[in-house]
Amino acid sequence: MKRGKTGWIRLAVASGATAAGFAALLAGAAFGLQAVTLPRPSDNQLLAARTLHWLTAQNAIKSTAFVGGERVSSICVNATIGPLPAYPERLHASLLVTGRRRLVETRFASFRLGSTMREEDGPLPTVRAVLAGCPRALGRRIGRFLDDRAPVHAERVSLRGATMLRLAFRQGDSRLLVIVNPRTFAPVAVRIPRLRTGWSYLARPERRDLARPELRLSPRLRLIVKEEA
Amino acid sequence: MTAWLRERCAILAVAIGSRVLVLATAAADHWLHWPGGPPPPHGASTSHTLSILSYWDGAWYRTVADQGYLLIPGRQSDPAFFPLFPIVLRGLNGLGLSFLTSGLLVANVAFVVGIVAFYEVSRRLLPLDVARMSAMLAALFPMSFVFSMTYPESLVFAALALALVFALDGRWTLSAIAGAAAALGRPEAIFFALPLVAIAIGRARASGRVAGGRAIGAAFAPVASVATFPLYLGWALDNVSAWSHAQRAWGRAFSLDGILHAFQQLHEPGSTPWLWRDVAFCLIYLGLLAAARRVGISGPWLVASAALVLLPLASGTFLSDARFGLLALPVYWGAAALARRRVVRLPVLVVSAALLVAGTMTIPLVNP
Repeated sequence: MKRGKTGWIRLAVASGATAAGFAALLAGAAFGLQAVTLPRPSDNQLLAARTLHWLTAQNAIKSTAFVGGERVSSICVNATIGPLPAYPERLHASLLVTGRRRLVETRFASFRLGSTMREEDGPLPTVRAVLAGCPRALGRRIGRFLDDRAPVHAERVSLRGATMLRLAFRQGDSRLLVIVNPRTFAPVAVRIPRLRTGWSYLARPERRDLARPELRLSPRLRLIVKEEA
Repeated sequence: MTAWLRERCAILAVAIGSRVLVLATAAADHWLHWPGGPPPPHGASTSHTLSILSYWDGAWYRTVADQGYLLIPGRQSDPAFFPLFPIVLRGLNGLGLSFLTSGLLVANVAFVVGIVAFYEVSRRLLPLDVARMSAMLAALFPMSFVFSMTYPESLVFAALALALVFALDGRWTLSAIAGAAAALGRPEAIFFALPLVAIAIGRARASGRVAGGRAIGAAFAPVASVATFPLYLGWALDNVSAWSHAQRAWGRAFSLDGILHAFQQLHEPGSTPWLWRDVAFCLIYLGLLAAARRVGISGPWLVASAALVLLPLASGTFLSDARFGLLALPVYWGAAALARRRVVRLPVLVVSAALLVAGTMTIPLVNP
């Protein structure tokens, strides 16, 4: 049977429509299969992931805490450290400055900076970095809760007259409270309840915060520690 | 039925035998605690005799099966892993099997099915002796220990082979379902849309008609299926680009100069020497594709396979290219073409089996 030009066009259009319909049907089935079978994270876990997303975009955070009725301010900037004898590659780190004290915190080890570098044992340096809102340390803590799919409880709270969201993480003995701005998901306060610490209030640093002399390292230390902010 | 089985008896024996070899080596690894290697990533069991087969990415597939996806910014997270394998694991877990047992069962059974389906594809395209040898070589291929791990590769291998054999027989609906399933397992399956289109056009030409809508639709089923994953992530995580964000956290970011970075990475201080295994297999795959051309494998098959081997390099690393290339089916046809002479066949199979055992032993040391 011979087909005219219109016949071929009609056939091609019909074939194309069938192909598209068939592929769309399969795509619908594939989507449905994923949607029906796989569990979705909770809305609160997604909120926590957004907070983490905000943190990963920061190079520095400043914080204020009240210790024994006294106001203590810190600034924490992202840094890299290395090479060190035990860690031959450069490591992501947080450089935390509180008053005149300087601490470098990494996933593996922490160091106090004076005229030289001294390793600090125990979990305290990491706790300090988390409470100071160091983007990497706090991000790592929240990330670990999310890795383990720890339940996240969220509730609206009022902070300095503004409505905020309080995210409560709990996994075994480990707990963390973070108050975030519900519009930007930026953390504005953090607390570790188990350690009975008070709230630390967090904010983005201003230019003058980053120009603090304590953030300037000696040429010798700069060979090992480099701030990124 | 008996004649059908008799013809495939040797292939089935080699396929099952190769799995016994891998499982026995994995058990020996466990009992002997050798080689040691770093502790497995979180969630991976170390207590089971065959637990090394669930290491590395296996732990991530298990997490998805158990808890679904969650993009964790700034960290390695699971939206980098495609959903078919976790969906199957979750289904079997619902029937009472543990994730480890489900994973091992699915991987190994799917592989045996895949080898038979691959043989069916081969015998429709190649002389019988080459088809038989290629199936045996696929079963004993040195990197084929991955097909016994709790990874989606064997499921995708089987689904791809079935999609192609159904297409060659003109059974387009079944081909579309299998092709869509393959692409839900691993994104590389979309490259096989190319030979599927070629088969659809070839069959239409042979019958003197235009390719039917169903045939073209089936050829594009893998593409349509892959597209649903970002859509699903958009629905579940409010982020349609969760897959690419997660890939970046795993050190994979596609770019124009990615291949250049892949070569640079080889000489970076601290880069793992195991990368050279991936480089070697990349070259072997390309060589075998050239050999496949000599036995008359057509362009679309070769282009799809070359893309499967080479495109991952655009993400800036050779890492795991030895594993990715396992799904380039014409590679086995090239190997069979090279080992076509009777005198070479047995030594090639024996050497392959020995390398398969050696490869299995490396699992605790490095992610394949």
